[in-house]
Amino acid sequence: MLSSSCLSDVPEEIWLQIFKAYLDTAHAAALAPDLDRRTIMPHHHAFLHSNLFVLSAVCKDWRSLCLNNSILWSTLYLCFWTYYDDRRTLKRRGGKPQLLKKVINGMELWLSRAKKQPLFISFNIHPSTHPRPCTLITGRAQQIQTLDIRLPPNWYNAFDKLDFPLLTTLKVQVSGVKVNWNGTRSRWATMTAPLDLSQCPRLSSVEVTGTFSHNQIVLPWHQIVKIQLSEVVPRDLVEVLKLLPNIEECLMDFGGSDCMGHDFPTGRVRARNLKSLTLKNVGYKAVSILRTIPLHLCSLRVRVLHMGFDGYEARDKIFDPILPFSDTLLSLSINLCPSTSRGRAKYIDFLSQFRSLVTLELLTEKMLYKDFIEALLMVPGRLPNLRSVTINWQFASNVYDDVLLAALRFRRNVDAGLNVGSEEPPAPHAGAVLERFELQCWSAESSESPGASIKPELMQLVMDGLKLKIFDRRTGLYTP
Amino acid sequence: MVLLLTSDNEMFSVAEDVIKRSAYIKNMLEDVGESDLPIPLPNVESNVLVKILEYCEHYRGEPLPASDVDPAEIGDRSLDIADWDQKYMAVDQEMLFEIILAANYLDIKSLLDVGCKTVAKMMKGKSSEEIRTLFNIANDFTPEEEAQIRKENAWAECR
Repeated sequence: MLSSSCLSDVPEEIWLQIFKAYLDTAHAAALAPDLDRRTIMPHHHAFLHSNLFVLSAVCKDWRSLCLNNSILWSTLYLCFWTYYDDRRTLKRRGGKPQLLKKVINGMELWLSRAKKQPLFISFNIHPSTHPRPCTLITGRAQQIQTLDIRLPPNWYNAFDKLDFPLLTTLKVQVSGVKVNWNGTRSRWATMTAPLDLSQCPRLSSVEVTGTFSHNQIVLPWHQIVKIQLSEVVPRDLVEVLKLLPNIEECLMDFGGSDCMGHDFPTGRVRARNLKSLTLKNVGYKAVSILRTIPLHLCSLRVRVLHMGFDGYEARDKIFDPILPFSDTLLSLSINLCPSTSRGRAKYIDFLSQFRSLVTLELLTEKMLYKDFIEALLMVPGRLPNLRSVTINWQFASNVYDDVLLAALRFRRNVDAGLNVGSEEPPAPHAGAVLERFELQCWSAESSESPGASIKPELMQLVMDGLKLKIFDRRTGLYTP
Repeated sequence: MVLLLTSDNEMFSVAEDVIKRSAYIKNMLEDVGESDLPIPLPNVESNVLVKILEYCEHYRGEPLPASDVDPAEIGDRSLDIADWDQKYMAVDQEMLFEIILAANYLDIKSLLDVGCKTVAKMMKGKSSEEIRTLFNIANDFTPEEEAQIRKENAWAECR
C-alpha cells in the first residue's frame, strides 16, 4: 500500500520503468562493456544487495507488480566468491554451511519467475565453490539469449555441444592467464578438451577473456560479426581473422609485454565486412600490424603500450605512411606521444593521410605543442572532412589560447582574425565545418585554465553551434 | 509562442522550439496548427510546469529522441545521470514524483528516464524496510505472507 498521495498517483508502468532502472544498478557493473573481465575477483556483490526479492518484499502492490512482470526476472547476475563458504568464514558467522546451495535455490526461484522470457545470464564463480551451479544454465539453454560465464574451465564440459537456439551474445573466460585484483598475472587451470559451442544458430557476438587460442573453443565462426579477444598472440592475428569471414567489428587485446617480442604478420588480412577494429596493448615494435589490417576500415582504435623507453627511432616508425586507408577511414582514435619535433612532423604526416576522417581522437601522455595544433588543424586542405576532434593530453602548459581560438575559427570557416606564425592573410579552410571539439589537459601550475582568456570568443563559437568542451584536469574546471 | 494553461489556472507563454520536447504538445501543435487558444494541462500544476520548462529550456536545440523508441531504451542503461540532470533532480521527493508524472503526461521521454533513474538510485542498496521508510510505504503483508517472503529470501540473509 502506497500511503503517500503522490506515490499512489504513480502508474504501474512508471514503477515498472523505475524497477528496471533499479535492476540495472545491480547489473551495470557486471555487464558494463568496459569492465576488465580478466580481473578474477571483483569487489562488488551488487546483486546480493540489490535485487527483485528486495522489491517484492516492500508491499503487496510492489510484490504483485514484480511477480506479474516476468521480464523483470529475465536478467540474472551471480557473482560468488568461495570466501562465503570458506571454513573460517563459516566459523566466524556461526557455521552456516553451503551458502552457495541456498543461493542456487534462490536463483532457481528467480529464473522460474522469468517464465518463458529470453534470459540474460551472467555467472562469475570462484573455482573452489561447491556445488556447481551449471544446471541453472543447462536447464534453460533453450531460453538463454546472452550468456556471460567466468567459471572454472573444467566445468565447461557441462555446456559442450549443448543447443542454445536463442543465444546471440556469448562472453566466456577460457583458460590461461588470469589477472589478479592487484594486476599481477598467474596461470589458471586449462580446459581438458575444446569447448564446442557450435550449436548456436543465432550467435553473432563473442567476447573471450583469458589467453585466446582458436583451438580451445569451437564456435559457429562464420556467423560471428562482433568479437573481442584478449591475450591474442600477434602472429595469430591473420589466422583468427581467417576464421571470421563475416566479421564486422573486432577488438583484439595483445595483452601487454608478450607482444613486444613477437613478429607480426606482413600480409594484408582479407575480412571483407570488417568496419571497426580496435587493437589494444600494441607494442611500438609491433608497428607492422598497421600494414596488415584491411583497407576498407571505417573505424580504427589503436592503443599502443607505453612500456619503458623504446628509443625515438622505434617510436617514429609507427608514423610511417599507411596510404591505403585514406579513402575509407571515418574514425580514428590513437594514443601516441611523439617526443621530438621530427616525431611530431611524422605524426602529422601519418594523420594527414586519412582524408576521409570525420572523427579524430588523440590521447597521449606528453605535452601538447602549439605547432602540433597548427599543423594538424590549420593547414588548408588537411583532414578536410573532420567534424569532431577530441584531444586528451596529459600536459598542456604550452597551449596558447590564441592558437586554439584561431584553429577553431579556421575549422568553423570563421574569419580567424589572426594567422599564427605568418603575416599573410589566412587561407580559407573550405572543408567540413568542425561541429565538436573537446580538449582535456592539465594546465601549468601558475597559469590560467586553457581557454580562460578567450572565453567570450569561445562562447560566440558555442552560440554559433560548436559543441565545445575544454576540461582542465588540474583545476577540474570546464571552459566555457 | 505557445500558451499553456496549468491546472491551477496559470498561463505560460513558451517558445515553440522549447516546449516541442514534449511529444504530447508537439503532436497537438501539428494536429491543431497555429492557434491563440491556450493548451490546457489539467494534470500539471504551475510550480511543476516551471521545473519542466527549465528542463526543456536547458536542452533547447538538442536533437529530440526518436518517437518510436521504447522508453526503457532511452539513454543508456548504465544509470549514469548527467551532472546538470542530477542538480536539476535535487528536489524534494514530492516534487521529484510530480516531475516524473508530468514528464509522463507530457511525453518527455528523456526527462521521464532521468526521473526513473533518480528514484532507482535512491533505492539502491536499501533493504525492503529501508525502502518502505524512504517512501513512507506501509507494510501491508499478512504474517503468513511475511513468513513466505522470509523463506524466499533466506539465501540472501545468510551473508
